[in-house]
Amino acid sequence: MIRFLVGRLAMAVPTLIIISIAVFLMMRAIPGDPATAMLGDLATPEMIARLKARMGLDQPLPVQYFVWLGDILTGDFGRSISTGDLVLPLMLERFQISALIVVTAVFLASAVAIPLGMFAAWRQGSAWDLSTVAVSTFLLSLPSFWLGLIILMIFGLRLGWFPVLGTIGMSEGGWTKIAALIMPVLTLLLIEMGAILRMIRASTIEVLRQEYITHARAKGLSEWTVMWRHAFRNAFAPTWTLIGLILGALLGGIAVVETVFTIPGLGRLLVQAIYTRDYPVVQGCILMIAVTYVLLNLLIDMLYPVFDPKVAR
Amino acid sequence: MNWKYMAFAGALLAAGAVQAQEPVQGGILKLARTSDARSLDGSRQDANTDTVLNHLYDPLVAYRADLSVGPVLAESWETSADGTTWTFTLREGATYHNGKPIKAADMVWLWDRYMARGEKTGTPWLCEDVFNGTSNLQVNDVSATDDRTLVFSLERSDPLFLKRLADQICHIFAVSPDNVDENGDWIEGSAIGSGPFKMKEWKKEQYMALERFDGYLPVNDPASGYAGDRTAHVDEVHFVVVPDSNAAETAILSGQVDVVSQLQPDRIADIRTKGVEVLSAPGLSLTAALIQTQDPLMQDVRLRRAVAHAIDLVQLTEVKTAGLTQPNPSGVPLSSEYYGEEFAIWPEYDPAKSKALLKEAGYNGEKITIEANKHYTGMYDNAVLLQAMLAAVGINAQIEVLDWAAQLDNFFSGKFQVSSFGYSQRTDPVIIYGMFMGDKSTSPTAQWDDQAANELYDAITGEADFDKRRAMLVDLQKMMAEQVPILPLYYPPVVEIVSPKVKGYTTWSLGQPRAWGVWKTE
Repeated sequence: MIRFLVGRLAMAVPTLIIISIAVFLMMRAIPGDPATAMLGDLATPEMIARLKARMGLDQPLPVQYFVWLGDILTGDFGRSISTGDLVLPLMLERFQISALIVVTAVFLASAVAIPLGMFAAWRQGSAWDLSTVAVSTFLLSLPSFWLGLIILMIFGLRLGWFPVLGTIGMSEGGWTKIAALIMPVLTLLLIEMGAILRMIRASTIEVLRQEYITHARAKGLSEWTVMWRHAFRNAFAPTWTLIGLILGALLGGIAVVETVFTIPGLGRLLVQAIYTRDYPVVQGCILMIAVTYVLLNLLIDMLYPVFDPKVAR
Repeated sequence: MNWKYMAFAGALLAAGAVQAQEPVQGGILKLARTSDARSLDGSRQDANTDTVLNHLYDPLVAYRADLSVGPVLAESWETSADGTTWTFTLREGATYHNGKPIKAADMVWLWDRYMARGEKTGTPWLCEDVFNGTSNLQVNDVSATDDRTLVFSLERSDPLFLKRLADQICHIFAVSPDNVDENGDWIEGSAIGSGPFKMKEWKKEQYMALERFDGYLPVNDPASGYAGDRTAHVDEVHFVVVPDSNAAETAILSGQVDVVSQLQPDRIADIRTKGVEVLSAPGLSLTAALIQTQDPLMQDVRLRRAVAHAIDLVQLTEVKTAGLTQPNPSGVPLSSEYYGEEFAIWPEYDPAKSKALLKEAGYNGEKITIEANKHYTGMYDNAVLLQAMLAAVGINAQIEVLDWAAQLDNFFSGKFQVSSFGYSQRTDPVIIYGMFMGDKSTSPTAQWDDQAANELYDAITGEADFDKRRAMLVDLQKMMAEQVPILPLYYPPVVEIVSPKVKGYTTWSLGQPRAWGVWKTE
C-alpha cells in the first residue's frame, strides 16, 4: 500500500509542474496586468511602469517563473498584490470555509440520493421511479445562482429563518454560524443530489439485471439483503467515482454560491483575484486546487476496495 | 374636539417630531460595501478603502456636499499674496485615538512617507504625480513651523491646489507615527488615527467594526460632505462586505444592514415599494464612449460627428439612470458650480444629419468595434444602446466584450476603436477635461489631442478668476462639440438605499457613505 501511495504521489509531481507552467503562462497571456488593474484609470503610464518593475513583471518570463517556483518550494506563496496579505494563510483560511460547505453538502446529498435512487431502481417503472427521475432531472438543470437566490428570498427574507449575509453569521460562531451555512449547503445539496441520484439509480438497475442477483433471490434471501449486500456494493463504485469528481470540482470553487450568500470562500477569492490580475493569489489558488484534486482522487482510489468487491479481489 | 385641544395635540405631535430628529447616541450602523478595505495605511487604495480611512483619520481639508472645500483637521488656512505659500492652522486640542496630541510635524512625516512610497515599495501614492510637478502643480516643500501650523510651498500659484488636497484620493490625514515600527514599517492591523471612529475589529472579507472615539474634538463648522463636524452618534459602525447587489438588497430588507450604496438605478422603482428610503444625488463619474481619433476610420471628424448625431442622449440617459439625471456631454458635472446650459452644447440627435455626414465621409459599412466589459454592467449596457442607435443610421458597430483589466489595459495603450468607458469620479471640471485631454504621443490615455484646445486648457489651469475660468471652459466645450474626440454621455447618479431606522443620513455627489452625524431609532 505504501508503495502504491508513493507511486501515485510521484505521478502527481509532473502533473503539478505542468499545471504550474500552464497557469503561469495563461495569466500572463491574457491582456491586462496587476499594475494596471491595481492603479486604475487614475494612474499615469510612468506609475504603472514603476509598479511593474517593482513587481518583477519587467523580467523575462522564465526568470519570473523560476523565482515563483523557488519560493513555492520553500513554502512562500508570496503576498497578494491587491491587499498585501500572505497568500498561503489566506488560501487555507478560505479553503476551510469552502470545504466545510462542500463536504457537508455532498455528504448530505449522497445520504439522501443513494437510498432514494436505489429505491427508485428497485421499483423501476413505478410512479415513484418516474417522479424521482423527473425531480432529479429538474434539480440537475437548475442554475446554482438562481436556486441560491430563490432560497435566499424564501428562507432568508420571507421566513427570516437564516441570516442573509454569510459574512455576519460566519463571524459569530455557534448556531449563527451553522445557520449561515444552511442555505449555501442546501443549494449545493439540491443541485448535486440530482446527479448522484441518477447515477446510483442507473447502476443499480444494471446490477439488478445480473444473474447473481437472480441467484440470490432464488436462494430465498430477503430483498433487503439482496439490495444491501449484493446490489449496493456492486452498484456504488461508479457513484463513488462521481462523488469524488463532484467533490473535486466543488472544492475548486463555488464562487457563484459564495457570492450569492456572501461567504468568503476560496472560489470568491479566486474570481476576485482573476479580475484584479492578482498573479500570486491566482497561481496559488490554482495550484492548491490541483493538489486537492490529486489527493482527493488518491483517496477515492484507496477506498475503492471497500465498496467494490471486484477491486478488493 | 375644540380648537384648543387640537392646537395642544398638534403642539405635542410637533414636539415629538422634533424630538425624533434629535440625535440619539448608541446602536450599530451597518454599511454594506462591495469589497473590503485594501489597507489601513492607504498604501493600497480604492473607493471602499478611502471611505474607511476617512472614518479612522481626519484629513486636513475635504469637500463639502456642494463641492466647495471645507475644514476638517485644519480649522483655517490662508495663502500668500503670490499664491505660492499655503498655511494651515490645525484645530486646537485635537488628539489621536491613543490620547496623544496631533502635531503638524506628523503630517509632514506622512507627506514624506507618501511621496517616498513609490521608491520604497513600488506602489506609488496615486497623487504623487498630482503634486510633484508632472502636471502644473508642484509642491516644493511641506513644513511644520509649530505644532499647529503646516506650510505648503508651491513652485508657482495653482488654483487647483486646495481642491487637490481636498480630494479623498489625495487626502493628507492625521495619522499617528506610532502606527509604524522602528523600521518605519506599518504595524499589521494598527490604525491609530484622529477620526470620529477607532478600530475595534477587522475580519477580512467579512466586516470591519469601528467604535466611536469619545475623545473626538470636531471642527467648528457644520457637517457637510466629508468636511466640517464629524461627531459620531452611533456606538459602532460596521463596514460589511457584500459583493453581490441582489444579496445587498435582500440584506437591507431583512434588516441585516442599514445602508446600501451603489444601487443600480433600474432597481429603484421596485425597491421604493419595500419600505426603505431611496436617496439620490448627481454623480461625478463621467460615463463616455471613448473614440480613438488616430484610428484610420475614426480620425475623420465627419464620421465622429455622424456618430454623435446618431446618439439620442436623452433616451439613453433616461433608460440608464431611471430618469434620475439628465444627459451631460461635457466635462462639467451637474453638481458643479460651473455648470450651466452652455455645457449642453453638443451635436443634436438627428439621424438624417448623421446619414448625410456618413455619406459625405464615404462610409461604406466598415465595422466599428465597441469595447465593453460585463464587470461594470453599465458600460456593457451603454455599448448595447450605442450599437442599436448606430445601427439605426446604418453604422456597422460590433461589441467586443473584454474583462475589465483587459479593457483598462487597452485604455492605457490607446488600442481601441471605440470603448464604452466610465472614469473614476473627479470633482473639478478642469480635472475632468484634463483626464481626457493631452498629447497622445506621450500619453495614450489622452482622447482629445488638439493644439488649440490644449493651449486653451493650459490657460484655464492657470486662471483663478471664477468668471473668466467659466467662460474659457464654455469655449473649450464648444471646441469639443465641433471635434467630437470623445462621446461624453452622462454622469451616473449616486443612489443609496437606507433603512427607515436610520436618521440623519444623507447622500452626496461623491457617494461615499458617512457614519458620523447619523443615529438609529432602535
